[in-house]
Amino acid sequence: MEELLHKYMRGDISSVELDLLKAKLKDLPDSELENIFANIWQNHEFPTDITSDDYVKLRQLKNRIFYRTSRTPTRYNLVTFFTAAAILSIILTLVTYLILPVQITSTNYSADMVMVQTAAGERATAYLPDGTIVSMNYASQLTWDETSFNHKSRCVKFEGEGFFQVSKNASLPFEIESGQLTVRVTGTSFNLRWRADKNIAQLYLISGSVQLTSGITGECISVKPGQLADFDSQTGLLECHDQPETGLDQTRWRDNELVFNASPLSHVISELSGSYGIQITMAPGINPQTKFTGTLPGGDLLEAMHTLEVTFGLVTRIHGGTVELIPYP
Amino acid sequence: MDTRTETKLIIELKLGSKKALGSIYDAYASELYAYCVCLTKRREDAEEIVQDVFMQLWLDRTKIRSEHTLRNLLYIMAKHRLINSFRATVNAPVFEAYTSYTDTIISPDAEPMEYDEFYRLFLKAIKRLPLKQQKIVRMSKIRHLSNKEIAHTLSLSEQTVKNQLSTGMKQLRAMLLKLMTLLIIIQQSLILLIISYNQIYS
Repeated sequence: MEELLHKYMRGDISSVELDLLKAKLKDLPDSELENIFANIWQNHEFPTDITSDDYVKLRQLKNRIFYRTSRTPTRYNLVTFFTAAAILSIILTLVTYLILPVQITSTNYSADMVMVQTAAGERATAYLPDGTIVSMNYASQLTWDETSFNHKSRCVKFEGEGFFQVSKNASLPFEIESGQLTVRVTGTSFNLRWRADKNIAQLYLISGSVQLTSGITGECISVKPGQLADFDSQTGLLECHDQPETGLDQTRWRDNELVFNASPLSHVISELSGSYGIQITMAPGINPQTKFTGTLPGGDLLEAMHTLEVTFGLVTRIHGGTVELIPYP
Repeated sequence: MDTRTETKLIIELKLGSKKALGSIYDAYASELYAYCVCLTKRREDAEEIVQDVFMQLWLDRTKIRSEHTLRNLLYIMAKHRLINSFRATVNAPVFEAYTSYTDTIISPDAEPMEYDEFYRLFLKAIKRLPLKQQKIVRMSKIRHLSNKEIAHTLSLSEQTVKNQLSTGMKQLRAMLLKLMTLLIIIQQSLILLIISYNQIYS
């Protein structure tokens, strides 16, 4: 039996021997086969040479496994969101490799840089070594240096939109670099939004205290809970407003809701297309500056589009992968 | 891997370290994969088994008991799928066809094509059959249904199934033979080419 098996594994079993093997296997219970296989495995009695193609495949497989063990679902309702969050908080760990090595090399980061990245239509939660939790909205990127983080300093780079729950450590302040804006905190929770294609960065503070520094003017302000801070990345000006209620709208994306307050239609469209990871275009007849106030669902595209249709008297047309908004005929 | 590193890795893994998972993968994945390929002869199966094993290792990491070595543990997680897939390959009619093909290659220079490749060729060849025969051949040779079962699901008589199967297989054999001789000719001519190339330049 063993000899036949070895011949089979080496790939030089003949038809006659195969028939013999089949006949023997028929009467062999799985439990015994289990032991035979276990012995071969334990004693390394099998050819281990694999091709270079296989090595490539194994590397891809590793990425896939890491990706699967740290990805959050992109569509969920409130209940599944919380269940998923509960399960994910167990699954996700300090180091979340969301990206493939290909992307790391292309952005020229050193091997010690850890980057968590979401694409359009994706969300993720990053757990940093110091216990800080960052929930990331679509098309966002968080980077930190694995070797120095939580030892000499707590510095991260961030782009996009994220909800930060920074763990308390007065001796090592947490610093976020978002373009020309530096956010300095000790232990708080807040929503930060900075998209490279927009001029304004916004931070809404829920608890604790935060210090903002403008890299252009050198100005430095403190933000209190309930305040919304604006940073203009062109002029470098920092401004702070008390907005205990409307400011909270900034964090509603975490409940899968997109809240707009007198926002131009063009902004609404860009948020929707980022959130769902699809292309949305507007026909020339529509004024992109039309204001919209309301809440759109982040997990139901048809519903969201329907709301826009009714509000503005539009019709949506879907062709290919894009959604087109045209005026009602 | 020595026992101390291993114990350390298991502890780190239980604490939720992805890095530990990565180190375990680097140490064992290629060997496990090679073993699965040896036994299942199918790279797709091997890949799936490796993926499932490491996903399970991660998801069930808190349940790991200390008396097992990692080597042990990985095998325990792989064994059921491994045995099923092994039995499926050994008993597959396509594998039988494959062995009779490898029997024909006596020359030690000509590496026979691997089973994976053979299997793909077989699936390709099936597609050239008339639709009804395709269905019947697939049900019989890939899903291992009996003629009676096939007759029942397709509401045909058992005799029709038998007839269709035999004409289908006859055609398949002819096609595979053609494809294989072509492949063997290509392989042989490549070898000849290499030999003559070496002779000219040495």
